[in-house]
Order: sequence, then C-alpha cells, then structure tokens
Amino acid sequence: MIEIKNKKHTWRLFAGGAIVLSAAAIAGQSVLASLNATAFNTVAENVQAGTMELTLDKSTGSAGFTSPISNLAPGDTVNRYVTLTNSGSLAGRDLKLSVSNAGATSSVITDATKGLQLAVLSCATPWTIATGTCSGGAGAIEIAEKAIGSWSVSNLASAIMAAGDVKYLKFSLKLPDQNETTQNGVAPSPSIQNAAVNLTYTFDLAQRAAETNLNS
Amino acid sequence: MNLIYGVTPSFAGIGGRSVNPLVVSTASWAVVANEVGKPVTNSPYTIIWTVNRGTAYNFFTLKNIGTTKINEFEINISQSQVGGSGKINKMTIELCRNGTWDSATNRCSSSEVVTVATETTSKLIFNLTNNLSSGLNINSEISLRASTGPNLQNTYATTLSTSVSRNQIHSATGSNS
Repeated sequence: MIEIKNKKHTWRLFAGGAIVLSAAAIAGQSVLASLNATAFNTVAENVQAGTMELTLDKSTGSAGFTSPISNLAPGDTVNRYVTLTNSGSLAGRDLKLSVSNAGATSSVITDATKGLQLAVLSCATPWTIATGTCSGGAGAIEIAEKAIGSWSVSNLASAIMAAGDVKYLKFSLKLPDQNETTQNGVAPSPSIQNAAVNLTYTFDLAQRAAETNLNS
Repeated sequence: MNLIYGVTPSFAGIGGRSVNPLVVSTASWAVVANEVGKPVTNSPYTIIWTVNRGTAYNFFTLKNIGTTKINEFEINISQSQVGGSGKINKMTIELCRNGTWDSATNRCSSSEVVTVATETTSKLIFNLTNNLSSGLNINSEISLRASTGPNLQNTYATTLSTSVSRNQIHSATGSNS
C-alpha cells in the first residue's frame, strides 16, 4: 500500500518535471534569436538606359542643306545629298520627315501646283553625286514627291533603323515649268520670279518596340 | 546594392533636324529700253521727234536687268503722231553690234552697224544668240541708235515696249550639288 502511494507520487514528479521543462522551453523562445539566411551580388548590377540620336550630315561631295539654292528658273531641278545616321544605341522605327517653309516672298513659290516640288529618294549605298545616280542595292527608291507647302511623310522607312544604320538620301527640288512674261522689266503679280523661301527639314525617329529579354 | 541610371520611357522618340533653314530663291528675266545715262524706269521707252532740219539721233540701250542670261526678247514698236499732220516720218533703229554708240562722235565703236528696225516695223524679235552669239548677260547692254530726218509737218513719237518670256532664257536644267 505504501509502494503504490510512492509510485503515484513519482509519476507526478515526472509530469511536473515535464511541465516545468515545457514552460522553460516556451519561456526560452521569447529570448532566443531566430536564424536568417541572406544572399546578395557582390558586384552591383549596372543598368543603363539606351540612347536615341539622329545625325544629319551633308554627303561627301554635296553641299547638303548648308548653302542656298538660288536663281531657279521654271523647269530647273537641283539635287542635294545628305546622310542620316542613327547614332544612338537603340534601334528606331517609323522614320518621319516633315518640311516646313517660312518667309515666302511670293505665294506662288509655295503654291501646290506652281510652287516648289520636293522628291526624296533613298539609296542603299552613297549616291554618285556627279551624275545623281544610285548604283547600290535595288537602285534609287523614291520615297515621296510633293509640293513643299504640304510636305510630311510618315514611315519614310518602315524597316527598323538599327543603331549605326545610315540612310543615303537625295533631295530633288524642282520648280515646275510655267510661263511668265515680263513687260518693260515688270513681272506679273503674283510672280514666280525673284521669289524666295526658307525650308527646314526635320527627321523624327521613334524608339523601337519594347522588348522582354528572357534569356540574358 | 542595385544601381539604376535611367529608364527609357516606352514612348520615347528623337529627331534630327537641319539646323539652318535652306534658302531657295528663283530667277527673274527682264529687259528694259532706257536712254543712255538715265536710271531705269521700268516703263515703255518713248522718243518724241521734233525735227526741223538735219537728222535727229537718239541713243538708248536695251539692258538685261534680270538675274539670268537672256537669249531672246521682243520689242513692240509703235509710231504715233503727237502734233501736226501728214504721214509719219521715216525712222531707223541701228544696232552697234559688239560695241557701243558714241553720242558725241556718232560712231559705233565696233564699226558693225546693223539696221534692226524702221518706221514700218511693229515687232522686233531680238535673237541675241544670232546677233551677239552668246546671249545677253546679266547687267549687260545693247547699244542702239534711232534716227529720223526733218519733218516740218508734224511731231511724232516712237515708243518701244520690251517683253521677255520664260522660254527666251535658258532651257530647264538639272544639277547636282
């Protein structure tokens, strides 16, 4: 009878001890640190934005747009040559050209029919300026011919203009043939004679489409 | 630590532009008849003749005041009576070819005198490539002399009106520059 009582008492001691240990364990979690793991690149990843830049130059052997065109008579054509370079780091698309005119001294010079007409042609290689011919690729490709009063063309080149790409362009400015008679030194009014206008050529290149590179 | 320098917006574009406007100008073509030593008047040239005796002379030039060489031009010539009666007097217009008339000595410096019109001439087509072989350059002149004899019956006027058309200068050209 006494042994049974003692056994019962021992079990209680163990239970008590377990309870004490659990409590200690629970109490211990609030003061002991948890473990973390960290990984990082020791060399910073360099991120740079691309650049977009168009460079317009006169072609070798041509005056380009740097010197005036003077003394045009009806029927005359003057050709000038320029190179357009994508000198940025990003490819571009949808090259656009617009021509603005200002300071016209006569309404005739910007007239849709009698005024200056501009044709722009492209060649895959530099133009032979002395003869105005294109011997590269598929030959001369006419992009557009319009009166300068309303010159604006989108998609001058629908293909991508990659970084470093160069376009060889011929600007052919023509004054349509027309007759005027001057009497005793006096021209009719309005007149195509002694007329002048300032032309500014503007190229615009859009950024290429956004890309997601999965395998770099 | 990541470093970010810049982000390109998805709608960005850029342009190239010719910095200085390209100036384009056109030619002009004009010839005027003018009295020697007088400023250009841009009007018909009229000579009023009042001659009692001897021969009267009038020296004038045909000048290119345009910006391009002229190959040909026309002169309409008319005679009109200013006063008196009777028929119009005889009148002659002479070119001093490749030279100049001297009003003091009444001589042509080249000695090449060509009669180009009389009182019955109503239109004179002056083909300069024939008469001068090279056209009339900018600011160049042709020297002429008009003359008439005495007419006691009337006073009359000779009027010259010049005209130049586009097809009387150089033909259309194409150039690469």
